[in-house]
Amino acid sequence: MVVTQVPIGRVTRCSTRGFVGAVRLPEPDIPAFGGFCVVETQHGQARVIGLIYDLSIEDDELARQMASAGDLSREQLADAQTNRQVPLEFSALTVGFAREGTYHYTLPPQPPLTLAEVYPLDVNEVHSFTERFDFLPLIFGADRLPVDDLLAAALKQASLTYPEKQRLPYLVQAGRECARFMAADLNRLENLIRSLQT
Amino acid sequence: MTDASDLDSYFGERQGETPLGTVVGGSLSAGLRVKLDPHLSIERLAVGRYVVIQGQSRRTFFGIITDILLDAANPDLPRRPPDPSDSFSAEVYRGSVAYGAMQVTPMLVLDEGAQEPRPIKTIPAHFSRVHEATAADVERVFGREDQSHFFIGSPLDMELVQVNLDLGRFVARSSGVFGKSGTGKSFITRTILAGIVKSGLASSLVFDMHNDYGWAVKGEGQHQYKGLRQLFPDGRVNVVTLDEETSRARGSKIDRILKIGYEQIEPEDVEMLAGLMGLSDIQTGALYYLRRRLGPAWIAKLLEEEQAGEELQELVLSGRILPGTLDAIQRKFESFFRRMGFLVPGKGDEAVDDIFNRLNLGTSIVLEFGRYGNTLAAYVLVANYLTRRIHARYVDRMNRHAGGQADEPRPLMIVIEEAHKFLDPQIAGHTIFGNIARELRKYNVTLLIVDQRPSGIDDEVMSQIGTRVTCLLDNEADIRAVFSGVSGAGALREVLARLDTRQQALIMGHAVPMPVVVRTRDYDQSFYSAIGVVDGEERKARAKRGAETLFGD
Amino acid sequence: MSLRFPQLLTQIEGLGESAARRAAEAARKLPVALRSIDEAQRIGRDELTNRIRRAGERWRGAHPTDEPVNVVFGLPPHPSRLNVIGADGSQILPDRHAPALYFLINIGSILIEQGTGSAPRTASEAGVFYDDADLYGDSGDLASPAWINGKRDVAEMETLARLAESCSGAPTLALLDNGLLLWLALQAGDQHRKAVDRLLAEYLQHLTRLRASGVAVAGLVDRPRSADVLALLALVLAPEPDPESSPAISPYRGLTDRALFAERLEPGQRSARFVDSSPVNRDFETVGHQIQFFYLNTGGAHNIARVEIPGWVAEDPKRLEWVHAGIIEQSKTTGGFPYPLVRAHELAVVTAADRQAFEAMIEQSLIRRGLRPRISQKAQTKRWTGARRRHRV
Repeated sequence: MVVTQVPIGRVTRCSTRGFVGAVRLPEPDIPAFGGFCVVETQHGQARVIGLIYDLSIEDDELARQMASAGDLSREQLADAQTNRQVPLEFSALTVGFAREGTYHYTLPPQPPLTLAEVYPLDVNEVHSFTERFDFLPLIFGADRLPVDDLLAAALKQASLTYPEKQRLPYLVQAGRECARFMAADLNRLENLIRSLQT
Repeated sequence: MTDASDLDSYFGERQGETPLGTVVGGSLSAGLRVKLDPHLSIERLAVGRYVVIQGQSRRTFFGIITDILLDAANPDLPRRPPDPSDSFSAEVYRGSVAYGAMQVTPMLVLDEGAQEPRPIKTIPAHFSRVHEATAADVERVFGREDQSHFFIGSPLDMELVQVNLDLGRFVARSSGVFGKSGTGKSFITRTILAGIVKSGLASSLVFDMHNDYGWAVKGEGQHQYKGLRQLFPDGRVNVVTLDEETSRARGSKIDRILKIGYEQIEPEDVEMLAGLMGLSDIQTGALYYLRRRLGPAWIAKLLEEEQAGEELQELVLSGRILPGTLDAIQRKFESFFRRMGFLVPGKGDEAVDDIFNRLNLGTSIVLEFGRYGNTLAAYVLVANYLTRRIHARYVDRMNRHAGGQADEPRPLMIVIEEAHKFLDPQIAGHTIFGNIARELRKYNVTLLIVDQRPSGIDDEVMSQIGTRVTCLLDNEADIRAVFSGVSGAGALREVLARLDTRQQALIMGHAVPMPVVVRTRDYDQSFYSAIGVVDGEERKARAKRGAETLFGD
Repeated sequence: MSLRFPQLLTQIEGLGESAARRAAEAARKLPVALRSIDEAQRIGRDELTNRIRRAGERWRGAHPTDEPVNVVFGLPPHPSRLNVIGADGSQILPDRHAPALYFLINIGSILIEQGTGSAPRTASEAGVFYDDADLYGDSGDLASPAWINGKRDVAEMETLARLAESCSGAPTLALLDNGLLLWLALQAGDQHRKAVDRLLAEYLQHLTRLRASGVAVAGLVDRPRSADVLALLALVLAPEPDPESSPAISPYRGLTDRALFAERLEPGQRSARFVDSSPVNRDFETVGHQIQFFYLNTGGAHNIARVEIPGWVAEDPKRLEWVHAGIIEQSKTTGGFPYPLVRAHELAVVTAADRQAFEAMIEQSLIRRGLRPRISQKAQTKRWTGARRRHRV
């Protein structure tokens, strides 16, 4: 893998179905909910593709203290917003893996190793990975996750890899694929459609 | 927020390459349920179109779309559709939770490597892909035009594909052309007849009620079309007229005038008219008695053209017939026979033999009724009269042929209009036409019945109709009648009810491999040329060219 | 669980009882100490100095300075512009069970240009030491934690000096999260004297750089436990202590200077300056860096910090003002501890995860060189038995 991007963190714990990474990053570099990320496994033979479904900022007493003090100096505010690294834990759901140039929309044979570097998935790869909607079942299969919001965020991100004119048709197609899973629950489907549009 | 035209252009592009849908259920008897591909706009479909289904075992199934419907995966959806202004939601729902479906009646199957499609005995497996049939697919089903296969029209939306009637099969059993009035029945019939004449597979005897077949046919407005006599000026078609005056006035070429002598008429001929003449059962029964007692001149005697007062008096006095009955018969005969100019006193001539001979020589005959065409009774009388006698000669000839004493008579197809008058359930059991329909081709005589009210035709007769060419029908009973005895017919009803009023017909039965909705071929110059007619102008031009070639400069 | 609590119950009870007794005792002694601070002033600096001398070489406590011992100084004005530098360090000590032998020092630093509104400059600078010379020194023993701490202290001071030299144009205050006296030098016995002396010399040299660059420097001891001023006050009660008796037997045993000044100082106020009497201060004094200290209420009810400054800051009223006003200003939002030191600590700290990541990288590096990293069985055992969270989705 040619690494041209800055890693967003390292894996701290993982299972076949997903992984958790930790990192301290300045605010502008924090990964986003619904973002695709990738991490190597099996000594680089395969790359696990994940979808970030949770970001949690770890306990930060200083920030809490300063927030309650109220009377912040301008320098301290600037420091907090540009310099201070936010201690962050992100959780990603495995939505497939890549091996020998092919995407597999199933769980990988092995999870990534602890401390493996997690990278954001390159825009071109997001495009080609999401051309097929076969990654949806793994998202729908994850219980206890904010599945609908995650879907909307991921699909909108994927649509942005298309030229302006093709985005809407892509989202329509995506909505139809989701509707197959949600046909029994029109409320859920309506909500998803609404989030896809906004 | 959705720009509908964007979506259209997007989905439009993919239209061509995607299948219509996949088979999701159904049965051989009820037809297949096909879920439409979400990319497909349901509005582009039409009942009556063909589809090709790729089976799992490399068989190709041909079917016809018989119904189109909207369905939803969630039964709640119809109760809470997306907001009308939200085209994005609508677009998502369409093809997912809400989808289109169609009913397909499978008709034929083509085994791998086989050339000829066979009637279907099974159905394609679940989730087989359904494609719109291409011109090549349809062409393979309907074969090529040749001596015995006649180009009758094109499937809807496939102008370049020919549907060819298998004329051999068409004439082998009785056939029918149905449709309410004004739907072009006689145009189609004439087209088919032209094909049959051209093929030489059978002779036709056409009882032409309204001058639709022989010469200078009137169409819509002032337009005139060529009759069969004009299409085949070489003698393959003869015009026989009952009304010389009218025929001549129309400029029709006449090959013979038909007169029927009173003495040639039998009570059986009159019996058919009982309803039309208002003869009661007793009066009808009396006819046979009168014929026996009065002899061959019975009609002349009843009309008192011959001296018969005493004879009649005797009959009454003998108590064999009531005076009222006799009076009624005489009165009704008086008003009928006097008006029919083609009925002449005396023994008449050998017209029946002449017509039989012509038919047997391969000449088709159009019997023009002229002004008598407006009198149903005249039509029924003559059709019945001729058919009974010609049929009898066919029976005789066939019997002798079986005994090796004669050649097989040339197959004959008798064309009658207003067929329900001859074949209604009350009388079909014992009329000549009922017999012909039932005996199939035993004596080489079949019917082509042209009718606008098939429900008036006896069921048993209908069930014997091999090929049915049906234009638009809107009466439920008529539609039901047309499909009687056709398996899987229910599905085709929707197709039939939605035909255009002009130039469209559903053809099913013996002469086509599967039911087909055609736009019938135009009856115009190109048709004339295809039949082999050389127009006057054209002929002159050819002659001139020939002369120039011959003599040079 | 390996602690068997039922067995310990009696001892826990005893511990609590004894702590309560000590607290009560200290509370009883506190008013006496408070009164004696005024008494000390009445006795005068010369008499106090005499009594200190008479207490002998082993006496440890606070020497009075030119400021009266009982005086309290209010908060001076804060300069409109003040650069505040903070530095702090942390380390990974060498571990015989680790895949490779090394130690690491990480220094976090921050430079705040107070009054400009611009974002502070922050840095984390780490050094890895793995050469034999670093690991074993002259003696051949593996570097001790104390020595590595000393090395870290030197690095912290070096960072302050470097940053101070980069500042110009405005008054500058350099803060250290520690006392200024090099702790290693306080502790060291004679075995490694030479190595320690080398570190001390370096340390003092950086202090000299700081003095030369015109900045104020201060070391901040949060929650100090020292009782130096109380030792001086003990001389007020007992003018002639027995030089033979242990200094631990103080009348104020159990009390701290912090408790004392918590009573005396309002938020923002500082105590008088004193001079630290530890022997190492003589080494500092020799090169002009005699360390003095005062107590400062940095805000809140009982937030007393001990602030250590070199003599050249103590005796320059301007620089002393920067120290006093600067620390108070920087402690406003952080609950009594200066913001730059909080941040420097944050930038310096090496978390367990960082350490794991670092060691994983070392392993990779070893593998690339064909070495098979072997984690000792003991470390492996710890890994197995240590608490691990299981990842769940």
